[in-house]
Amino acid sequence: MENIDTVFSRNLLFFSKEKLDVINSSCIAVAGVGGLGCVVAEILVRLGVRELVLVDNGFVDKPDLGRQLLYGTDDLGRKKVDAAKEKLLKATGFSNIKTFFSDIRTDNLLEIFKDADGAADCLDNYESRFILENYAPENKFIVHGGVENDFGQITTIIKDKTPSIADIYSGIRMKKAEIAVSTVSVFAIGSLMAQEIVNNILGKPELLNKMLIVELSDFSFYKVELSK
Amino acid sequence: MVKIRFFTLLRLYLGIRETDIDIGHNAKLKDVLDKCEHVIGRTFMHKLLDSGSLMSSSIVLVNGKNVHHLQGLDTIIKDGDEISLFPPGGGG
Repeated sequence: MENIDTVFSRNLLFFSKEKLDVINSSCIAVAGVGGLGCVVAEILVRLGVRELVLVDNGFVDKPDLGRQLLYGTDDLGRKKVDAAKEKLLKATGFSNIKTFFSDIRTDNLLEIFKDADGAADCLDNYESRFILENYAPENKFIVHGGVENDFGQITTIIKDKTPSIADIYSGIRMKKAEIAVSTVSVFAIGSLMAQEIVNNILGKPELLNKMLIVELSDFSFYKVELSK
Repeated sequence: MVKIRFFTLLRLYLGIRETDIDIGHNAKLKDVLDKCEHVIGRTFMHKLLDSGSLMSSSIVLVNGKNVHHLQGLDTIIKDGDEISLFPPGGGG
């Protein structure tokens, strides 16, 4: 086993030992291990988080291969959480991976959140997002992300400190089951979500009461102020 | 002046990112958006409304708050307010 300081040496140069120790001792739940969830999970493992809790009830399907980083042709038909865990365990050897082969339900969220400092909302429908935030413990952050076509949005949700996902998206309904999305936007939004998760782990969320809207068509980033 | 910002599909459709509308005095959101169409010379209300109601595929924020938590299209807009309009990304 490599020394942890060797594997994460480049990040150590950037973050400092003190901050990297905080990241290395953190646990994050990743709700949904599809396009965004794969990118978030991969980055967090390569930053050396202590533990990831992966939650997904899906199986790897052919359309997933076009944008879901952790899966390949050998994984077709496997549970996503199993295939993801296998890849992530090999990445650095330093992160524990816990899995829940389940959808987001009211009766399993306390268990999912038990050891987690916060969660990544990488879900693909609003109903599950609303359940996630409703039953998340009060002191835990959720970094919400959504992606479509070549754009997406990210914000940090903390109970009593920010508007809820249900507040922000009040009146919204999913149009259809299959959403148009570019691989580039999935990777871009997932990467930015990982940045905001790190910000939260280090106690300095940048997107508290702000929604970052990213539009790749003209490389624009805009932060909309949110109010409760 | 009221600032209206268009994001994602609405920005692509209209080809503009934002515009300032002089409303003169307080006005309802739907009237401000009507005036905006005249100012920019393009229609977009059909992308936001279905039979006179806000569509479920877009969100409208006034000063960062969803208008469903205000008075919807009857929300009173005053000088200095900011309106953000966009269909958000729903996928994960």
